[in-house]
Amino acid sequence: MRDVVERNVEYPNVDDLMKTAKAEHLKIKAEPVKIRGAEIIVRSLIKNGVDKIFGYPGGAVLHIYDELWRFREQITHYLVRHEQGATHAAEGYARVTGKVGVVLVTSGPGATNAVTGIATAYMDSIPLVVITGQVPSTVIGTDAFQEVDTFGITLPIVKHSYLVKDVTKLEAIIDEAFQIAQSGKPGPVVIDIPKDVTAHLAEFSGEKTQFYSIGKENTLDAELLDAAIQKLLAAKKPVLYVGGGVVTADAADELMEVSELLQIPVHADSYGIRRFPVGTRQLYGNARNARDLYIEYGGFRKRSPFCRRGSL
Amino acid sequence: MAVSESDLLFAVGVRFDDRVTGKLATFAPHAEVIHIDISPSNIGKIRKANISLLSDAKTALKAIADKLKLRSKSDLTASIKARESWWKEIRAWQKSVPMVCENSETEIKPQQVIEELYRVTKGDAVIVTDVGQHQMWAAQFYPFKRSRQWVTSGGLGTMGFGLPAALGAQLALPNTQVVAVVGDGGFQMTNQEITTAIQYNIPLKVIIMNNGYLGMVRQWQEMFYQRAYSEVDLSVSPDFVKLAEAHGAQGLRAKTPAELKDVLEKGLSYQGATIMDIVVSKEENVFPIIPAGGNTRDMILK
Amino acid sequence: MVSGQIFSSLTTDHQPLTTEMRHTLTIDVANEAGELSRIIGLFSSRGFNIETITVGKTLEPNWSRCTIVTNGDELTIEQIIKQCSRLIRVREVKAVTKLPHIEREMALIEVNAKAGPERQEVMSLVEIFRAKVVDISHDKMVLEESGASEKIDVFIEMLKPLGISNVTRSGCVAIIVCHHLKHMKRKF
Repeated sequence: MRDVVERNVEYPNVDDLMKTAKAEHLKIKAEPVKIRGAEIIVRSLIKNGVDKIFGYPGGAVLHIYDELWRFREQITHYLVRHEQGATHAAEGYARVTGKVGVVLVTSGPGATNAVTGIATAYMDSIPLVVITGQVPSTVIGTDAFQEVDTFGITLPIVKHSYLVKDVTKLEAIIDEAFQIAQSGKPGPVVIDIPKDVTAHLAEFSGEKTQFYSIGKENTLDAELLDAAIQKLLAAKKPVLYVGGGVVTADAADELMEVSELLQIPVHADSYGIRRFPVGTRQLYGNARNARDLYIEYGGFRKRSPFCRRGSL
Repeated sequence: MAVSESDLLFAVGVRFDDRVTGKLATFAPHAEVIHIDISPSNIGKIRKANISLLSDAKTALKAIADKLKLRSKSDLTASIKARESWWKEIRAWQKSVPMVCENSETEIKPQQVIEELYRVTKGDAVIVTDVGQHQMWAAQFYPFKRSRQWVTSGGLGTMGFGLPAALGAQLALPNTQVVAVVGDGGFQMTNQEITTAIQYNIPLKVIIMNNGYLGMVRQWQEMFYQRAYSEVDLSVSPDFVKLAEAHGAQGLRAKTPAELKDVLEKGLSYQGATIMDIVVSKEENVFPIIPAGGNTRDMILK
Repeated sequence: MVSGQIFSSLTTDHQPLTTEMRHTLTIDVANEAGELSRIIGLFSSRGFNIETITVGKTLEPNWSRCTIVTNGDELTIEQIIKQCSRLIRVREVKAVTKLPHIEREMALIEVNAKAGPERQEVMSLVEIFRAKVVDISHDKMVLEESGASEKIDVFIEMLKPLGISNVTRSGCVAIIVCHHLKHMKRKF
């Protein structure tokens, strides 16, 4: 591990240099300032609105943790006791706020311990960005210490993933990762970063590159909408079957409106149900009976749905 | 039941999870389907849609609500009137399902724990669960008021999810009560994160529904494997109160219904991390339940 | 986006299609490391054997086109197509099996061809099938043949009695036929 950074070296302070460059009387065109990959990562996280991250340090992510120490006023790191805990905590965070949960773990066993949490987020469409350290790019594939093919292992359980080989692309990758995690049907994104890449230097632009629009994407065909409404009006035994998509879109109010206008009972599937107001106060139909709302809940491991009190 | 008898399934933001649909051919067999989803791969993946709309739920539902408001009052009332017999059927089904929790004097019923929790938190808490029977009871007996009050691993069903997820949720919502309801099995998988809560002064609240079993598996073994309880006995487990205290959290235990209310109130109002070990009936079952390969009509009610 | 009518469709078809069929897909995917693994993973995780797979450049340097031939039931193939088109780095997935398209494959075949009647027999087959000789030695020849998979199958079958010592086949590439005459059936 010869790439130990000397602590008595002063890192260039980007902000100061920018101010200096702008000073009219100097009339010097500022040299583009280059910072190391680890600093780009932390600055990009802050740029994307992150103030809390959950993680556990290790050899491959030492530079990143060094930068986290420098930026500890702006971004808080929560040290867990097991990487699985980090991923679940980030999920809990994301599930209640709708924001992206951020995880930082080291290479090898750190990444494999995070796999369960990543898969959990994938199955429930929770926005996560998981940064995993990796052995230096020069030794990838040589069965190095704490090396594992994180990219390969997580392929089927991520919305998208990256193995960053070029530090100049790092900032854009992080921006894109956040957008992918949150857009459309959300999901976890894994960014695997080799240790040497976190030491290489590159410029930091500070601007957010827009790759995807987050939020409303639709191709609502007027004709189809009319056809749908015809069917809804004509149906004698309709059921509004709703799920997680309603929660992600924050569409609880619109859902109430439609079900009330048409007096259609709402049936919610396992996960979606409880994330929107279902309580006894919500009445559908003419009935004063508060249990007009149905739930069929998917069971653990095998299908063992059950019903909420009094409702079927 | 309503789904199996329906003639129109208006599906919004669902992916027709196999755990909800049961045997596909018997899920809403008579119904036409209108499917709204943001992801094109979800549409028609499990169930073909007669009409499918690619959109996020909010925009689509708003568009539909707007169009409906343009319709004449008579159109809407006529449509609503036509469904009166449907509602009658539904009410009849509701009445026929007994869904009562018979409380006991001597032992705490798991359903009772959730009901008491609801009362103590006034239905305002964010409930985070682990995976298993307690997960089902929490969903059954805690009515929610707002969006994002329920956090659970619905898709993958990961045990050990509850405690750390509650940690993250409490950090995200410092002014809201977040309560983790976990089983004794799942608790033993990730309880080391209690230390994280202590380190950052997070008021983590964990209720352990302690029945000394891997409950859901035991239930299946009881109902479908002639009670051959294979590897589900968790009676050899740490003393959870001592374990909590070893981490630096408050540890409380309730063994009888009389103790339940006090333990919950004391634990939830404590200014710090609390682990509440609630000893519940050993062999309580979740109902209704649909056996593997069955459909909603095969539901076992008690 | 997926071509053919997948969403916004007014079908009333409830029955899944479970008969096994040969399917050809073309996938336009970003020319980046790992993206091919992502696509292949969708097949292997379902136990779907990829019979042939080819990938090559397109007119745009950042994009490649991958052609996959697989066997399976229609319902699962549709699932795979949808999940494939959902991948971030996949631009387009075309299920060309049902569309008018052209499919070609190439084969390099090493066959016994001693001077004399044996070589003559090989050469007459080469002429019949419009193949090419790309290598020759005293007792063997390497032939290159391209065309529809069925044509290559027959060519190899005809060469078998002479003794084939090595065969490498490329796998299929496919392209949709020219638009204006797509209503007309033809075989080239």
